[in-house]
Formats: sequence, structure tokens, C-alpha cells
Amino acid sequence: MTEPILQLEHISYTYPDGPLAVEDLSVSIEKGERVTVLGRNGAGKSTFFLLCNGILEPSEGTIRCGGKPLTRKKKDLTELRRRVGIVFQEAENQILAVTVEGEVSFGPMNLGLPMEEVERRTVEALDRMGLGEYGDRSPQYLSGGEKKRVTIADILAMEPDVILLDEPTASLDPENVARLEETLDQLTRAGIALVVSTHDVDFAARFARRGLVFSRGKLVADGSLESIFSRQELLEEAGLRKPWLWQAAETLRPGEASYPMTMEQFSHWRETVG
Amino acid sequence: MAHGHHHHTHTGGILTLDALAACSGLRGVSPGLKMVFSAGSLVLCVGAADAVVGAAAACSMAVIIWLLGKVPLDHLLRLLRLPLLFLAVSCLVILLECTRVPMGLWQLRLGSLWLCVTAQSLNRAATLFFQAMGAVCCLFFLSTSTPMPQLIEVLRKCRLPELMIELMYLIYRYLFVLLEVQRQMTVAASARLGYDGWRRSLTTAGKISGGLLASSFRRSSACYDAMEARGYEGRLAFLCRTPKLRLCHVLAATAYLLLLGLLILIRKRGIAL
Repeated sequence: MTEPILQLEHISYTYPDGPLAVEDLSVSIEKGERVTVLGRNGAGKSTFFLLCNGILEPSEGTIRCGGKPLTRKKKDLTELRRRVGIVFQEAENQILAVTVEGEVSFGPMNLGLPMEEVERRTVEALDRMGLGEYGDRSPQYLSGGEKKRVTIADILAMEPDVILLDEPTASLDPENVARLEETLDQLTRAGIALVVSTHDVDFAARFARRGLVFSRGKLVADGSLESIFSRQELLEEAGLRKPWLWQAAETLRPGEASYPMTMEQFSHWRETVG
Repeated sequence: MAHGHHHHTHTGGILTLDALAACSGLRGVSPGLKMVFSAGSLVLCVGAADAVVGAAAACSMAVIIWLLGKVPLDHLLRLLRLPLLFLAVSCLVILLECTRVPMGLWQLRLGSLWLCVTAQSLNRAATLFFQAMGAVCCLFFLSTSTPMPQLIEVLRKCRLPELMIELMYLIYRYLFVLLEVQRQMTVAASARLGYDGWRRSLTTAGKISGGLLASSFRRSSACYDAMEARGYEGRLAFLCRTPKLRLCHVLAATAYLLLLGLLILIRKRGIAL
């Protein structure tokens, strides 16, 4: 078996002025994998993301990238930030430049690449996000969905192995959520591992098989979504609900171990139960 | 209830200029050339200190902005409204002289004093008015045709300190972000009758400024995280593809400046004769 792309081993982190934000966290992400991160606001999801990318320095534990342990040395940090990208929840906080093209080039410029390579990556990332025509536009005239795509292009231009998306569906309309799901499929096909935090369990069920559940700074579950949604006490602890289709199926036939979560699974389930 | 609906519906002047520059007919012209051209005509116009030269510069620049820059005429007039008003008021003060005896072209009695317009004051006011209008049009030419990032890149090439360049980029970006936050807060405040009456409007505006400052502080740390996440290490640099310098543009700009220079020469020699 190949080494996981990203590995966190017994990571703990305390905010300078606060309580323990993340405690004894161990997770590994494989190449091209899709993982969804669930939990209440303030449960440690965003801190987890910032730790993965080296913005926050863990007080304990080791982070490995492709099996190699990373230190806080500048070279290692740059490596980590290239390989692990974060798409932040608020596009306005992430967008920095005054043109779309400039914005997407910011990451590659920081990697110290030659200008032709910066330009190639910028153009390619914009094309992949369907923003080819937007190069010289100003970000303030873009719609919410377009801004989200710009922030994803930002990270794509750094050619990462893992992209962490912090609540990407928040503040998107249904049409743009559907478009985002297509984009995520495209990224998976390109072999990029995706870790997506969300409050929308129906979206989570469509997106991934594997879930991480955070509660009060601890990772309380790491496993298949079926196993997560069938544990009532876990759902209560983490403030989650079951996906609507799961609830509907459970009402139809109570007492089974697990239920369908996506439309596809639901149709299939209805045929098999008759 | 009647108040509070008007003062926050208009968008700031910067938004208009920015949008105009983004779709200007002259956006394909090298920004450096546009800067030199606009500065050159500005210097000629101000240096000449002549009403005819000023008027010629103002009119020709307005035509260039309209026809070549593709700025709709009503937009242009709206842009010029503010400086026109300001200039009209200041030139009126220069136009009128206060004397003890009636003199000049026009007089009005004010008690024991006379308000007069003399040939000299008329000349002074007209010169100032057209000189300033010409200068304003030269600057509008630059600001309606050149997007800000291109201007900043020209300044970077002129070896302006890196810190100033970065500040310009950040200020320009967050201007729009904060304008939007301010707009939302204003709408939210007026939805709760925060702009009912003059006194309350003032308190509300104060609170919004405070809130804006607080939210900027909160936002700044989130923004810094996002910058670091993309490998920011202390140098803010973006890809900016600026249009290339083209010979025909250089020739056109030179021709305009020469014509303006020729006009100045004719005017000055005419006075000398």
C-alpha cells in the first residue's frame, strides 16, 4: 500500500487565549480520497484545516506529507502549503488581488515559479473552473458562485494533492451547489483528494463515503457515513441529523441497520425492498 | 419614513470609474503611455495658463473619452458635474471684486460698497476655469481608461517602494469589500429605522463606522490566514498582463501633444505681437 498523502499523528493545538481547540487528533487522507467533515460550529473543523496546512503550529504531534514528517522549517512549510490547499468559507476573505487573473496567480507567484509557468498554471486553473473569459475582470463584479470558483482556481493553480474546502455550500444557491458538485467530481477525476466540511448532511451523503465527526475539539468518529448516521448517541453528541432520505426510508421500514442516503441509493433500496 | 431611502442608494464615484475603466475602448493601450500622455497634456494645460488652451484641452479630452474611450456621454457629464460645480463656485469668487467705487464691465451696489466685474477679473476667472477644467479632463482620461492594477504595475516599474505598491493593492481591494459591508450595515440599520431623523442618522452613521472598524480587525486575521495558506512569505505579487506599447498609439499621443503645444505657441506669440 502506498503512503497516505496527508497524515496527522496525535496532533493537539491550543489557541493562545483559549481552551484546547483540538486534542489528540489522528487522521490520514489517501490519494484522491473524498472525506466529509461534520460537527457543530466551533467543534474544531476549521482549526483542523488550519493545522493541515501549517497555518497553526500544533503543540504536539507530527504531520506527514507523503510519508515524510514535516518540520516548521520554511522549506517544509512551503511544501506543505503547496500540497495541501484550503478554500476558505468566505470568498471575500480569500480574494486578495484586484483582477481574477492576478488573484489566481498569487499562489504560484509565492511558490517562486518562473513567469511562464505562473502564467500557464493561472490560465489552466481558470479554464478548468470555466473562468477562461474572466481573467481581467475585477472580483467585486462577480456573483457568489463565480467568486467560489475563483477561490477554487486559486488553489488549483498551486497544483495540490489535497484540497480542503471549508463549508463550500454555505451561501450558494441550489444551482451553484449543483455546479460545485460537478467541479468536485472533476477534481476527484484529476486525482486530487478532497476534504469538505459542511453542515448539510444531504450534501455530505452525496459527496463522500467517509466522514469525520468533530465534537468539542475531538475527532469522535472516523468511518463510513452509514456507520456514523446509524449511531444515534453520536449524532446527538455532535449535533447532527440524519439525511432526509435516510429518515424517509426509516419511516417506511423501521428497524434496519442502515438506510439509503442519496437519491440513487434510495431508488435502488425501494426496488430491493419491493 | 420618507427619509433614509436616498442617501445610500447611490454608489460611490470610485465604483463608476472602476467599471468604466474595465470596459474602456482604450483598455488595450499601454498604461504607461496613457499615464505619460495624460501627465503631458496636464502639464501643458496648467503651464500654459490660458483660457483657450484650457478649453481646447478640455473639449478634446472629453471627445477622446467619449469616442475613443466609449464612455457614454451622460456618464461623462455626470462625472464632470462635481468638478464643474466646485469650479463655478470658486471662479465666481474670483470674478467678483469688491470696490468702493463702481468700475469695470458690470456693477452691483451693496450698501456703501460695489460688487464689480472687471475685464481683468473676467480674464482671470475664465483662465482659471478653463485651465482647471482642462486639467480635470486630462485626469479623467486616465482614470476612465486605465484599470487600477495596470496603473499600480506601472508605478512598480517606476521603482516605487514595494511597501507602497502592496498597500495600494490591498487598499484598492478592501475599499470595495468595506464599501459592501458598509452598504449592508446601512441597509440593516435603516430597516430598523436607524435613519429616522437627522440626529438619529448621525448616531447610526457613527455606530456603523465603529462596526466597520471592528469587522475590519476581525477580517484582517482571517485574510492573513488565507494569504499564508497560499504560501505568502512577505512579498505580494500578482500576474498582471499589461497591454504592450504600440507605435501607432505613441504617434497618436505625440501628435496630440504637439498640436496642443502648437496652440500654446500661437496663443503666446499672438499676445506678444
